[in-house]
Amino acid sequence: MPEDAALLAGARLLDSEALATIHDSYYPPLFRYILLRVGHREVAEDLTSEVFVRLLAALHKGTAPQSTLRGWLFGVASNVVADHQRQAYRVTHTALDDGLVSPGAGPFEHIAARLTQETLLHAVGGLTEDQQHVIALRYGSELPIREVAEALGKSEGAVKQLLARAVARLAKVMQPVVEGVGDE
Amino acid sequence: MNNTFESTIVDCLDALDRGESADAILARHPAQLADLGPILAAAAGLAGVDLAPARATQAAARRDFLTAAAAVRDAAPTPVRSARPSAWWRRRPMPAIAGMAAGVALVIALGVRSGPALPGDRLYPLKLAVESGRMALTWDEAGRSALYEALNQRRIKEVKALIAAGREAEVGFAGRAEPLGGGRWVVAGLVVRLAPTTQILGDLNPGEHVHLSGRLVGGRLLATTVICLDDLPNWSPALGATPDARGVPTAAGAPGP
Repeated sequence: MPEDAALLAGARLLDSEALATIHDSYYPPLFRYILLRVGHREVAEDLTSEVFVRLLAALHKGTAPQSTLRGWLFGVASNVVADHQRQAYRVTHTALDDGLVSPGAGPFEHIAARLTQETLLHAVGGLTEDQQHVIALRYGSELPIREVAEALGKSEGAVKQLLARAVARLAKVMQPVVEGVGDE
Repeated sequence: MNNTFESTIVDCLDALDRGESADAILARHPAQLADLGPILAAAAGLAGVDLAPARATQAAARRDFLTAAAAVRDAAPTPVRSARPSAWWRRRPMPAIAGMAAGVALVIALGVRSGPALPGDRLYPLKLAVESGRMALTWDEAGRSALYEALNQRRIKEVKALIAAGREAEVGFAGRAEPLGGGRWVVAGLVVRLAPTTQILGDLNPGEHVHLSGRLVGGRLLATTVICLDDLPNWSPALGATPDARGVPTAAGAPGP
């Protein structure tokens, strides 16, 4: 990513080149983060644009960050997703505990081959908000564990623990789908 | 989930991050194969799923973002005038006064000539330049506020004239917005259509004071940018409103997120 502080200096002047660089650099990771959170491409496109509209408003009001653009943008993205989900909650939460997947699951290749994008995106919608958040930052935005920890204000160990629980729960949410396909 | 198994998952995810294959990782945990298999499959699926935005969509979003930024930039306040006159003013007051008088006379003459021009007419840029000159020569806040309102009313009359003539043009004006439904709003008495591509800066609520930029096509007014002026705490016509490059009265404040 380009140097945030230098970009922000240009952005505060609404310099087209700086704003274009910010958009080019951050649109893809923000889109991936939001897509993993909402599970629908068109909605993710709208919400990603909303993040940039809020950036523009903040720049003009003088409330934009001074040096750490990435954290600010993902914070806004998280708020935008939360606003969206309050308005139209996309999925019905499945009551699941954090237990393990059933011991009857097949070998790795058998299951991995049946994980489609739709299955994954739908399954992520069945996680808690914290679990969605950590998965979207780690796998959607492809942030390293250290930066996920910074974004969440947690230790790296705590993030790894949260991620482990989230992935385990995701596997459990996907289990009926995978088994259903496997029974065909 | 017990702590030992949770630690195992953490170790396995770390190994995946390091690039180890899932088969190699699972081979180290034969007793937990059935439990770890789906978890590693989920993690590998997440890492491999295509979440990239469509290139065309990203390009369109970029264009809309930069267009909105330009609209906000146009709405920026004019630089504060220096309280002190420049040195040549004091050294040569008579030529300066004479020059200013000639300038004012020229502005008035051009203003009269270009008065009826509409957006798209050859003389319209001249009309806007004259208006900019008038705004620049209006020093007191009350006078600027009144002039802003007068120019805004002129913009609205121009839009009505363009609609009556069935002409297409880029237009802009300010007014209260009221919803009609079906993506239509009434702003300053004119029906405006908002499209999904319309950039809305701020929260557009019924009764909101907005500045609208749009295009007249086939007798319909399509909004391209809507700036919600009620979200601009520091905005006031007297302080910041001035015709921009297109002669559109604009705001000096900022839309809220």
